[in-house]
Amino acid sequence: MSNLSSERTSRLWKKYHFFILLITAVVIKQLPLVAIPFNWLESYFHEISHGIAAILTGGSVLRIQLFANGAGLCTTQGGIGFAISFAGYAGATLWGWGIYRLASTHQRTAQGFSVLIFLLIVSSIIFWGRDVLTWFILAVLAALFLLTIKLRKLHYLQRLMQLFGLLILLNSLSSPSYLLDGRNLGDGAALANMTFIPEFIWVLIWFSLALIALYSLYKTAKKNH
Amino acid sequence: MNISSTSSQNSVFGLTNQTNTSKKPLVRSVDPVDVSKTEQEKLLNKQANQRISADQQAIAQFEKNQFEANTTKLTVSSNTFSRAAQDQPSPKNETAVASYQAVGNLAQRESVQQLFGVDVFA
Repeated sequence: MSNLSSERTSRLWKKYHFFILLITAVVIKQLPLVAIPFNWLESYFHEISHGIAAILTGGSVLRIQLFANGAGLCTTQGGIGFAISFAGYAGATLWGWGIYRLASTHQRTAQGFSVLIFLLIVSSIIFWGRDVLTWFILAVLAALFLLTIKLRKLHYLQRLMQLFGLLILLNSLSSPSYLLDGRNLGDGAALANMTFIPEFIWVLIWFSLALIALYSLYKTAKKNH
Repeated sequence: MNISSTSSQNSVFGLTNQTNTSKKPLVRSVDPVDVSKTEQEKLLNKQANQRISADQQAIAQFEKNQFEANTTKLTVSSNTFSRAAQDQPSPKNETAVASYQAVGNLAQRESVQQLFGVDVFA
């Protein structure tokens, strides 16, 4: 009897795990205190994407600053301004999608990727963090990934990584809309100044990218069950 | 300065000293006239009383001067206090200065960013 019910639960999980994780992510995002570290997570991947784009286009990262309210700043020198500006929101979407996809492939892959992100956060503390608040936020994020690495059951690590991926993706889906505040500040305004394409077009592009990424994850999850 | 010298004379010990020193000329003045002892004592007492009354006047004057000095000190200190309060800018002015300085810093920051080719992405 118990075997039958557990089998049924397992089948339900396999069929709907993407939606269960998505609903969990949506609920977490609404919780006042619990949502804070996950907002920091999206903010970190946004800023690190600016930094990586700067390095890839021949520039360098001078400083990464993270704030308690989920805001962030990345100070760079050199590189291609357009690529660096665009990489913030697009990069966060890519990180969210990548974390979910890689965690879905294999439990060991999920563990390996978790170690990689942990090391990236630690090197960010060493090389780019310059103030106490940023160090603290990065330390919390590092502890979050260390927790997933330390999990004995790799199955849970896989699910946690998938949840992190979806949380980052949901944040990158909603955060570009904050740019439409009429103040002409941020990445959208910077791109609008460079290209003469209005800010809302850039916001629309980032929103569409996040939506496509989410749909792609849904399709993969549907194919797998 | 004169007052302070009187003040030393006005002290109790100073008073007795004064009477002692004043005795000598008194005796000298009495001797030639050949006055009786009682009369001499009366005269002495009268003189001493006169001296004491003079000293009391000095005390009164000293006290008056000291009071005046104290009141001037008080007014000076209250003046300085009110002057300091007058020099303090109003909160409105302080806000204006702060916003002016902030704008100055922003401009400075932008010029430094342009100088070193530094970009800030939010």
